[in-house]
Amino acid sequence: MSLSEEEFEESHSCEVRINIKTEMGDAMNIQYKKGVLELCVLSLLAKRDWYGYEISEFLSHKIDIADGTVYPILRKLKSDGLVTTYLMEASGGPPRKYYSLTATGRESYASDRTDYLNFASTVQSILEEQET
Amino acid sequence: MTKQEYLNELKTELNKNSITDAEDIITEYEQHFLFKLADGYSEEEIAVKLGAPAHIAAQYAGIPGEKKAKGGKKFFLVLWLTIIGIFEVMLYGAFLWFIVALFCASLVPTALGVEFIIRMNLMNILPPMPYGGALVFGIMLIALGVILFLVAIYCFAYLRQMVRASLRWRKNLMSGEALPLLPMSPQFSPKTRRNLRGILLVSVLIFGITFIAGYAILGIYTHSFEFWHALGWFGYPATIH
Repeated sequence: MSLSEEEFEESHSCEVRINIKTEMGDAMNIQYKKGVLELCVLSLLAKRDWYGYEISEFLSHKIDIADGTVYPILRKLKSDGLVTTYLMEASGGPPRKYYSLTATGRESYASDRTDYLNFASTVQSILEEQET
Repeated sequence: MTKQEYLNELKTELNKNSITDAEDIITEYEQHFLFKLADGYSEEEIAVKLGAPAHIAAQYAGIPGEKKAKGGKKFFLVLWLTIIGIFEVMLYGAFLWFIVALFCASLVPTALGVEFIIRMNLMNILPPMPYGGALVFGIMLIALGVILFLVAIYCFAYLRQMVRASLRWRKNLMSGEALPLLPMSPQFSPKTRRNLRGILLVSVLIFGITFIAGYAILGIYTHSFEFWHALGWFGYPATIH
């Protein structure tokens, strides 16, 4: 036998570990993006009311995400009480579901925005220091 | 995947994750298809760009409070937990009384030991023996009391931890939270554990040594292996006074 049982065991478990690691990396990436996307959606809604498709189109053109990702985020914001929805008739199409920021949503956006900008500027300064 | 295939799969995935308002979500994605089709994309393209239905359903499932707390399901959960709860309370109750009994039981040898040592024969219940033997047996009885007391403490810590673990488990089930489950065995701090173990070890040692020493003392004193006969315990006629 060229490969002892222990050796096989070891190489096998190694493989598993690598798989877990990449999966965790992906999961982290998704979590990270989700938080930022939430903030982006809030930012759009702070300017005016948008309907779901509009938001999805706008963000998927700017950020590399699947088109379907935005709807769960909108749902989460609604269940958190940050946005409300209303239907509005549109010419030549089904009624559109518009999303609108609530008072809580506005407050939450203001504080999250400040937090994020502070955080981002800190990260940026650290990364730039690292380079030189 | 065509539009209909995509929506069907999404519906299946949403139901699999028991998401509330699956219809509402489907409508949203259906509209997405309509808008995109109007922009000139093919159904296949749109489906690919949307992402896998399973992934989307998983994102909905990740939203707290979005999972169906179906009336029926919840009812059976409560019923089930109540039935288990009745048995649990019976078990914990029995265990608690056992612990109370252990505490009381630890007092008896301790009190007897003290009586032996200070030569106080309350209600004339102590068997006759020379003071040397009484002193050693007194220490032995106190050590026994300490051992029982420690066992009671350990059992109590065990009971407490079991109740806490059970409550945590229930909380997770009822509110859909995923707090880490607690271990069932008692959780002492390392210092407390060391102290308890030290006291127990010393007590057991003292108990063993004094038991042998007391037996030896009385055996030598009475010149008999069955000294209780010679001393007139348990109603035997005493041969030594």
